[in-house]
Amino acid sequence: MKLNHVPNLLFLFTIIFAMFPPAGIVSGQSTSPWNEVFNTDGTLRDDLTDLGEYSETVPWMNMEIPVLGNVLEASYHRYETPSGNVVVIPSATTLFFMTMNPSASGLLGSTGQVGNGAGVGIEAPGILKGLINSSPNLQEAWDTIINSLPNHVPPDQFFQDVISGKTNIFTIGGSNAMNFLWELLRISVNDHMLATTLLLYLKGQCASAPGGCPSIVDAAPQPSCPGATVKIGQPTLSIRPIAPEKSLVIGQDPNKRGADIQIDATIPPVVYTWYEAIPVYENRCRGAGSGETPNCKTDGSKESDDGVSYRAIVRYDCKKHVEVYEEPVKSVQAIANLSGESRDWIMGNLAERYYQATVHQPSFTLLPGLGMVATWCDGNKTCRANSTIERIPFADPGRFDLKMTVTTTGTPVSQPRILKGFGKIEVWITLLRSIEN
Amino acid sequence: MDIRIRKWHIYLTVSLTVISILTYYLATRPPSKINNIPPDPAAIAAVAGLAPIYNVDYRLGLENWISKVCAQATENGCQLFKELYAPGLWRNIQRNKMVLISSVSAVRRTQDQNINSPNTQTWELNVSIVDQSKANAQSQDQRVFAIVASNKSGQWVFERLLTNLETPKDNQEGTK
Repeated sequence: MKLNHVPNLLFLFTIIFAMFPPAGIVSGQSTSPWNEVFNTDGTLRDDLTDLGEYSETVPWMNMEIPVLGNVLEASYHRYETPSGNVVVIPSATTLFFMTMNPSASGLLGSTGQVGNGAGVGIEAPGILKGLINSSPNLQEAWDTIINSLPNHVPPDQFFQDVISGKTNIFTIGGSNAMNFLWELLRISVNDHMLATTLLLYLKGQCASAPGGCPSIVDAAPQPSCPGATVKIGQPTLSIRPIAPEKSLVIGQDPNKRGADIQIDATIPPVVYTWYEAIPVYENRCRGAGSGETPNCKTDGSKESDDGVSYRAIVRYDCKKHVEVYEEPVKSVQAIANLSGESRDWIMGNLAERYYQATVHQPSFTLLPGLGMVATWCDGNKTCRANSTIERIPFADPGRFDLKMTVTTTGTPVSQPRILKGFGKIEVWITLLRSIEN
Repeated sequence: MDIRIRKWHIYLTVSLTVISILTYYLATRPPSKINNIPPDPAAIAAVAGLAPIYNVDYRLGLENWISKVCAQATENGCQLFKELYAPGLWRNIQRNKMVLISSVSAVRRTQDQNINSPNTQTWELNVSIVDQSKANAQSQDQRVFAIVASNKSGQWVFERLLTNLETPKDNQEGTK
């Protein structure tokens, strides 16, 4: 791939993006597994298990600097549906390279995708290949886009149609599409990546999904028995201020109190259910071959032994095994960053009124550094981490965005996870106003 | 008084004089090869930009590395390094616990990547790298390509490194 084509590609993406302002599009199979992913209003369902952010070095995303290595890693956010399907949300950069290598990246293995205009534009088959392999012919590209336009459905009906299995449809505007875009925006902000598209991989196809299967056991069913299942627990993360009720900037506080922040993470156990096929034998008698000594009757009416006995499997009974694994917390990181709005307010409004007003310390690395983290797993194999960080000397007024990142070790049957939680704290300042009579 | 000078005295004096002059000349003469950097401001910018990238210590942290690189780069180059290059490369640097000590020299100007822009040049450079984190570390030479850009005041400043996807295939097409 030549990066010289990137401006052309970006130009075309812009055109495609402009054609699909707040929009959703879907292609997939007639029996829709999307009903496990979306509510009818375009929001993601609550019972999706957050598998967290996942990054990996992949050969189809190779952009190397000599000695220092690969610049890019493929990154995705992934969810698992109750039935074990996997929803993969690649970053825009990852999706770009997936398009360049649709087979190796697993893009072709997805059952369907729902995305906004930019995501769909990136995936549009045929257009980008043509652009990369030859000089882009804008008229041809335009014709391809026009000819491949899917069917429009009303905004309110869109996600109902997605859930009911309609394919190759799109919509423009409407509150449901906006709900969907807010979901994408939330994921984008949380993971610091541009998310545009949801790719769906059915349970049996997850090996071809980017990042592989979240459960790493061989789930091939044994004879006549149900397949194994791995149920990954839904984590709960929280990062929040606990004292004082209103934090004052450290410079104005005579007690230099600072603020306390509480961090909690709860990771439920991973439940691995598998079935053991236990053969049930029966003694049977077959006709004896030459040289064999008969020891049974092939027919009850026979007077003497004419056959040889053997054990035959007549059926399999399935014995259910449930194994519960704890998923310990490997590390916890937490940061506090002054929001952009507060930064602007300090440097603008406040600086106009108070000559020396400036931003003192806009970011804090809370963990590791300012507190200790306790991690443990209880008797129910639920693993937890908590930390109380005391007396954080916030020196700037405004809103600090709090972010925690928890890395788990994974289990013998599931991959490690990178999970994120968010919160905020407001730090107050006392402003003096002179009142003249 | 009769001073008698023997022949061998003359030979000795002349020999010592010649040796002294030769020794002084060898000790004070400029090196025969000053360095490999052509006296080209663009090449100097490329070398200056590349040096902090390849002199990196994982123990000093990502921010330290970025600030050193950005000090030698254009605003766009700094942003690109910070947002695109550094996060991924730092993962590798940390993973491999790299402590790189390098010297950089410009080799030649190559065919420019963006021929429509007269304000950029592409340079081939040689980087001699020793990873001190490794036992029995040995120097290895690496060919690297970099783009430099001239700013508003006409000064050449490092813009970015080329990745393997952009490395010129025919490096014989130098334009210098």
